[in-house]
Amino acid sequence: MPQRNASARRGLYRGAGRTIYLDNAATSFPKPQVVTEAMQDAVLRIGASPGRGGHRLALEAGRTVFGCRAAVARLLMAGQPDRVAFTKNATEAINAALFGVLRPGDHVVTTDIEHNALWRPLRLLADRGVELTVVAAEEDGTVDPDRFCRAIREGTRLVALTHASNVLGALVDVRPIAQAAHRAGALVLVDAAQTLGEQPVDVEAMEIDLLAAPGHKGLLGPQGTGVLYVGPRVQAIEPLITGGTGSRSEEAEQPDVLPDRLESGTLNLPGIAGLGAALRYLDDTGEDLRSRTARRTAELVDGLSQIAGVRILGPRENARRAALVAFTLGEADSEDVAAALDRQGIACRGGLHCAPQAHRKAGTIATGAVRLSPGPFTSEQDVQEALAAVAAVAREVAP
Amino acid sequence: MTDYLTFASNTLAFRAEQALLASGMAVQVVPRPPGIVGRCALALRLPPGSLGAAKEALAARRIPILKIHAVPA
Repeated sequence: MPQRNASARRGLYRGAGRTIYLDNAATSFPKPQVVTEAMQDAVLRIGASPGRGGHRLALEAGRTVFGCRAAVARLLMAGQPDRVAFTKNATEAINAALFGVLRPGDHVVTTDIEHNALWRPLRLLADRGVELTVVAAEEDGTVDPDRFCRAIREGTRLVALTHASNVLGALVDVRPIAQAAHRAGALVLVDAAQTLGEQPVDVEAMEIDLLAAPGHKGLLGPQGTGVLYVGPRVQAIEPLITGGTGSRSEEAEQPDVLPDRLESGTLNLPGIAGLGAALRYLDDTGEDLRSRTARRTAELVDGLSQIAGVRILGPRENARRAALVAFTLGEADSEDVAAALDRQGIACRGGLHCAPQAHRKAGTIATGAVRLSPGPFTSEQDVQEALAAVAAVAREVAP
Repeated sequence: MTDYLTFASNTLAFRAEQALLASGMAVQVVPRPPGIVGRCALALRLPPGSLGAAKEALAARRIPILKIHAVPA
């Protein structure tokens, strides 16, 4: 399988104008070839909708969805696949969790470095009567568990936080926070957009009740896929949307049973088929891919720290960092720096990364930051070339 | 008579199929038990004489059966 992927990499990645792709924190690229093949098979051969009809093709579509659901459950150490609902991305999964469990008068504890995917729905819910306590993270994105836990009180309904900021990259130690939340009777929602597939996540050991993640980042699946894990402590969850589920059709009410309760309307079969193939690929090669990505991240941190004018955001210890490195170049506008790097064939992301809170924390709200995020197919040479390009841009904009 | 099991969702039906196949039972997923209308989650057809063992295996895996249908063969 790695050979097949390598050929895909040459064809799709190197062949297309010598671009070095370092924007895996937005979406991973390239995808393993098996992802494309599975999606093509779903469209060209299976075609039918899962759970809609009992003919052979509908059954095969259903099995494809079930296989992917079971693979996500295994990855999360989640026990039953019923507890994994498909969404179109992490944002939808976060919204399904927040609007599903929170009611006016509920108290929620979160941090001041959250992505807009979590922050905006929380603000909307606050306008509707949910009480928010926002705990300050450190400047490097570290969340002090003791400080966070002090904000949890009797009557807290939910603790909602990222597993790693998409700007600062600092990994959050979820377990002590989750334990304190459970002692207070609260649920725990984790946004694993930057970590699932790339960092080990065990929902039982980490005591996570709700976990939202995209399928198209660390899991290497296609865009348009996401997952929401709903753990056994969640006694009731209201659906974000209702409608046909392919089950209990005789009843007017939305089914209570998971995942049907949260999955109204026809599912994204090609996307889920691709995600399932990506998960099988990760199952075969995941540990190797994870260590490769970690090495590339460390090389980026080391190399950037030697370039004059560069300020790296987030923790300095690589063990506490997800696979992304954001930096500033003097007072230069990050979008200008990203554009200059793009002209040199480096695909990366400048700006605020939909996370203005994290940039306020880092003091980069005015300039934004340039984020380099390697993936499992980033080579050491890619990193060296990217660092050389940053150094060249640095000499121009921050001499 | 042939026994059919129905479930509250297709996910449960596939889990049940997986569990019973793993226990050596030649079950088959079908759209619905013959003659049963008005619902559209999948069902499992059991081999003759295996209802007791199937119920036991599913209970051990905490897979709830919605209904058991005995249909003339």
